[in-house]
Amino acid sequence: VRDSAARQRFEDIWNEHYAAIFAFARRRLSADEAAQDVAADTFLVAWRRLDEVPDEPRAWLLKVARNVLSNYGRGRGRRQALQARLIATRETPTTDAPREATDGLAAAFNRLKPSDREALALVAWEELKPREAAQALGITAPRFSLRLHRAKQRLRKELAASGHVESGTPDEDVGLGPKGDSPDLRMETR
Amino acid sequence: MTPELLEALKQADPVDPAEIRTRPRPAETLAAIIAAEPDANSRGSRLRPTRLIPALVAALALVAVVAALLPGSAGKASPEAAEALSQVAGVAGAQTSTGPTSGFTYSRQIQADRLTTGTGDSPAFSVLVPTRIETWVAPDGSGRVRGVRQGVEWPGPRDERRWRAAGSPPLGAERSSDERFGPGELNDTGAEGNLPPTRELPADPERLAEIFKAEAAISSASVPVDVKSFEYATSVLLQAGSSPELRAALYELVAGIEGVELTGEQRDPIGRTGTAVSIDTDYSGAPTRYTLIFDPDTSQPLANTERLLEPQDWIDGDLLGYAVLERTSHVSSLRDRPKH
Repeated sequence: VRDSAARQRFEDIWNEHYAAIFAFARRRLSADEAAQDVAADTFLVAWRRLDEVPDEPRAWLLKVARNVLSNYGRGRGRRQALQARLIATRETPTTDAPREATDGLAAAFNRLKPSDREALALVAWEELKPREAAQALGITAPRFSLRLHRAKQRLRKELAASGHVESGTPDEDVGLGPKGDSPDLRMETR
Repeated sequence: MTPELLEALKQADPVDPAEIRTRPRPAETLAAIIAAEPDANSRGSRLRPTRLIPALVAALALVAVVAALLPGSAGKASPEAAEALSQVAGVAGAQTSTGPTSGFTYSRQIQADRLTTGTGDSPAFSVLVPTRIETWVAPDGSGRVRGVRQGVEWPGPRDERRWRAAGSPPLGAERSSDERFGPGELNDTGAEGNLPPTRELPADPERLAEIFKAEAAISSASVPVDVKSFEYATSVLLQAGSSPELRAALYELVAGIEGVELTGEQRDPIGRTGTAVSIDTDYSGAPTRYTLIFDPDTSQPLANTERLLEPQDWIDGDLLGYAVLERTSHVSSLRDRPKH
């Protein structure tokens, strides 16, 4: 049984970060209830492993949420079916795609491979710093920087190909460094 | 990214974070979580609650009771499974790495996802959507990935009838792709979730088990660690280019997972015969069997499958999904494929 200090710490984490974790899940799932499930599972992991939760917990929580989300697909359709309240359901959660691609940017974003979308989304939507995003992905900061850099390049390329012109100055090249990530279809696994 | 583009991308956010922040936190979920024992599932029962809200407390109590009734935590496959896995680990261990110093490692897989769909009062139906994925990976980690969707596979005639009755809605997006990747982009990938890149995994079953358990422990509060470790091991095995040493360690690791049973000789989804080991679980709400099929003579993994153990109304069959490693080979260019 946790002591009152632990409970207080957990409640502080819950109060401060629940909305961000719910939003993270909601961006990737089609219904509030599904996102609530993922957020609840994420915080249950945090409660059970409270000693491992860092003082700045958001990136750690998002890492857990990513894992929970990848597991969620396996049971999701079944639970919904069993409870006879079905909605259009994809067994494997989609990643980071704006569901209403109403402009060129969203459409270009949607054409990116999932790992590119993920890198961009963690910065633009989850508002993580690159160091935090790297932690959420379980990779080194230089590796994330390179991944983000390549994602930006590919987004620009998609925008240019669709006739949208980005104003401003491109990023500095981050130079050679370790590595990208999984190929596009990796996200299609069961 | 320029600030303008970043700001524009924020505008494309599919949710409204400000609105979400104004919503009340679900107090009943917080109460249920705090009522949970901190380590109730750390060892990994193979049973799980099916939903967290609102029955979390009751479900966790059930898990705790079932965990107490399960065999001890020594963690071993059945003797028959352990023997088969130890033998194939020996076969792999006797092989030598043959990774190319030039050209490309080619692999061809089929991965079948399941869609389960229903709308309103329409009855649910399921369909498998297989994609053939070819990869060409150079020693420097550059290469090519080509994926082509292979149509759909109906688990049974009832599901196809239900789909037609629902107006033949689209069955997922067409997702064919053919992409080139720069140096390093393909050889630093983890097989699943946040697993380390496959080439960085140790060829030591105990250290592998530690890595898998650590990752499984933060993969979900409800997925048993042993089941998740089995899934991780099969995913890594099916990744092209895993070394014989790593294969041997993975087979040995599976031999150490409690609940793994020898299923015997079995055909994979494309008709090849191999030896199968499996683990059963109902953590997702329906009793399910995860199976790994391998060739005991070559140590090559052939496929993994996921099958229901009890009929369910939302699928007219038992096959929930599969991944097949069709072929691995060395080729000299990004356009080459093995002759056979």
